[in-house]
Amino acid sequence: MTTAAATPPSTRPATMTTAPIAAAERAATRKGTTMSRHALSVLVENNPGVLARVSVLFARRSFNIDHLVVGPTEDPKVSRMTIVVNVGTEQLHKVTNQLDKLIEVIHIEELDDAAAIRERLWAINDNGPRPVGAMAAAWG
Amino acid sequence: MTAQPTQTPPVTGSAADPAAPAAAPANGAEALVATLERIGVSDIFGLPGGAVLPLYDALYQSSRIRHILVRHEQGAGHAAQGYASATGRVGVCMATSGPGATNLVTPLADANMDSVPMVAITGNVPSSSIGSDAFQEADIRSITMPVTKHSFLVTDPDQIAPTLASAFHIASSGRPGPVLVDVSKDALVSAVDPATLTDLALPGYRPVTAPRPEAVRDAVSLMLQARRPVLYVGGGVVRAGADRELRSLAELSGIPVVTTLMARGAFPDSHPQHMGMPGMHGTVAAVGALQKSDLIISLGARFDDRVTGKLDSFAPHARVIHADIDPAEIGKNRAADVALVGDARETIGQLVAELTDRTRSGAAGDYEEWVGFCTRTKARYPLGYETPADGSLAPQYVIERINAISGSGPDSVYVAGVGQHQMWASHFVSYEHPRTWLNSGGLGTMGYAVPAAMGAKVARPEATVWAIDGDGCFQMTNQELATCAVEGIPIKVAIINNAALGMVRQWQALFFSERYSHSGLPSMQVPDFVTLAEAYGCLGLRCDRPEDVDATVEAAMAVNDRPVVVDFQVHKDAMVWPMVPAGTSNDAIQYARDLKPTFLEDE
Repeated sequence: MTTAAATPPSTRPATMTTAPIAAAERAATRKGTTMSRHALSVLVENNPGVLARVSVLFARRSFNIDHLVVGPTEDPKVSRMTIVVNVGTEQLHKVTNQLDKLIEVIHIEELDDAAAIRERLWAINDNGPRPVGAMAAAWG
Repeated sequence: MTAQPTQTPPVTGSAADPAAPAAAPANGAEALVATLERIGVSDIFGLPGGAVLPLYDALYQSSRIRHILVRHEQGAGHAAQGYASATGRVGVCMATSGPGATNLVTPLADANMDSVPMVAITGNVPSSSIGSDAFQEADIRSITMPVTKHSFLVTDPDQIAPTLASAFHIASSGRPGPVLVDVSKDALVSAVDPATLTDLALPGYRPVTAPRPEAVRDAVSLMLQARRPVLYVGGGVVRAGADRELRSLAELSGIPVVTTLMARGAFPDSHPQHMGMPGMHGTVAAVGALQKSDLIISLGARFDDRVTGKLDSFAPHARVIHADIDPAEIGKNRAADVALVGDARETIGQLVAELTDRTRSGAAGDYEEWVGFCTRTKARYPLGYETPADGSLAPQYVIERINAISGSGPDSVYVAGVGQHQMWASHFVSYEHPRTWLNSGGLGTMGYAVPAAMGAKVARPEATVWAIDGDGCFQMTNQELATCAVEGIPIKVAIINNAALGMVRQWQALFFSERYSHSGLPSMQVPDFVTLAEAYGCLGLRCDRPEDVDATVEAAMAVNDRPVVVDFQVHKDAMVWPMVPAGTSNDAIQYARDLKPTFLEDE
């Protein structure tokens, strides 16, 4: 895989910025827990329906997905999902545990710094369509 | 969060020789049947329809598989659950596309909640029609995603055999659960290339079976330090077949035991260390033991809301050792101090070994005062019930007498529906052996009893299988009596007929000012259960007086050439006690209406 030559857009579309974060902040205040954004890099089997299965799990367990990108890896049988969630630490632990139970989920890793996330987001999709760029930009 | 995506687990999971040559299946349907035979499946519950017809055609030639034609697919699903729960073997059900498949959703969700190993096979419309809203098309793989352990859609005939083998492996390993395999009609009729048959890789499926040794040591240290420990035993112990190991651990340590609704029979009710069932309708001794404990040793249990009551006030002084095969259960509802991730049998075996070692080197727990408290609570607040003053029949008495006459041996199996009768059947039958008590615990599916009893009886024809059902529950799935009568499955059904949706009525009496909104049923008149039983080819009996109960149960026990249905017409106002009102603390337990035990103030 090569790192994309394109640079992330310097400004993000207005629709991508405040709305989800504000909603998440409201939810955090309501629950009285400290929520923060976490990016999960999830390797999944490249099977039909796997995206539905992952998103159904998030919905079923009441976890909101802030951002989601799916792309290929060098192995055609494996896809990578990069999922950004706004949750507390305990909730993060629960959601990864539930995710790990899915038969088609091969590996889960939390990406811990913005630069790595930006690189990963661009690396997984060399063509750099807008949502990916927007997501990387949204991260920082 | 860790994974090595290289491992390839075996997918053949069966005693049958996977290398045995199959008789070269010509098409997908034959490959499917050959795979079932190779895995060792002997019984299937199902109902055919258009999309699954090629599979039924292949099944027609099988001499090794008995197919039991049900009257409703939900019955097939619950029968597969009963079959699995009574034996530990994978239960199998089969249905056609669309409505056939959607009728399996309730049993699948039920099996998912109660960790029942089960494989559901459905036919779907040809792959060229999938997505076109074709006749009897339903996206059952997606529909069942949140209520199964896994679900497959197969459209390639060469993938049928490996997918099915994987489905059995997934259903029966790790935390057991239901797996759906949906096969398109064209895959069933297309030619199979035997050379391509390989196992699925399943790179993301690696159930952990043995706990970490340091966690076992930590757990035993906590057990030895504790002064008020309790063994909180859940259904995982039954599923893992860990009852012997549990008994060793309990007797070696002397720690009191509580068994949840799903674990009744995992530890003998007659054992002096047994405090009974905890939870919303638990015994005072079991609820009290958990509330006052300083250490909960949870074995294959999941801190369900029906056990904990209001979570914040559940066992406030207890540390927690949580043993479960599913890592996602650890800390889900209650934080754990020590996590033991692994198979219950393996885990408890290791706890016994470690405790034995420490005991040899002089370590011993000091639980004497605590065991005394538990034993006194148990003696002071035994299970009981009021005998109706008007001479009518107490439902608890009926269940006690059925148990007294049918016995508590390993060959007496009791299957309940959901509601008051379920709670009475969990309390007033003495369970001495695992897999003798089957019920819908997590999902609470009314209508479970009759078809699940049918499945249990097919799996264990030598056993006496009693469905203890309510008049509401019974009317949801009683069509399977026809299946039982025709297929020679002589189950016995005791309808605890109180002419009401009894548990609903109880809540209305207690929490809704006796406003009985839509909870009454005219079940003493319509339907006439005795006539209904006879119409289905069963023996129908009725009993409404205490003095006739024994003779009626004995008459039911004497008939084994057809199913028996007994309409026990019981007192309408009987309630399930003890009770912790929903959403309140376990400390608010009532021994009987408006009567609180004093165990909290006592010590």
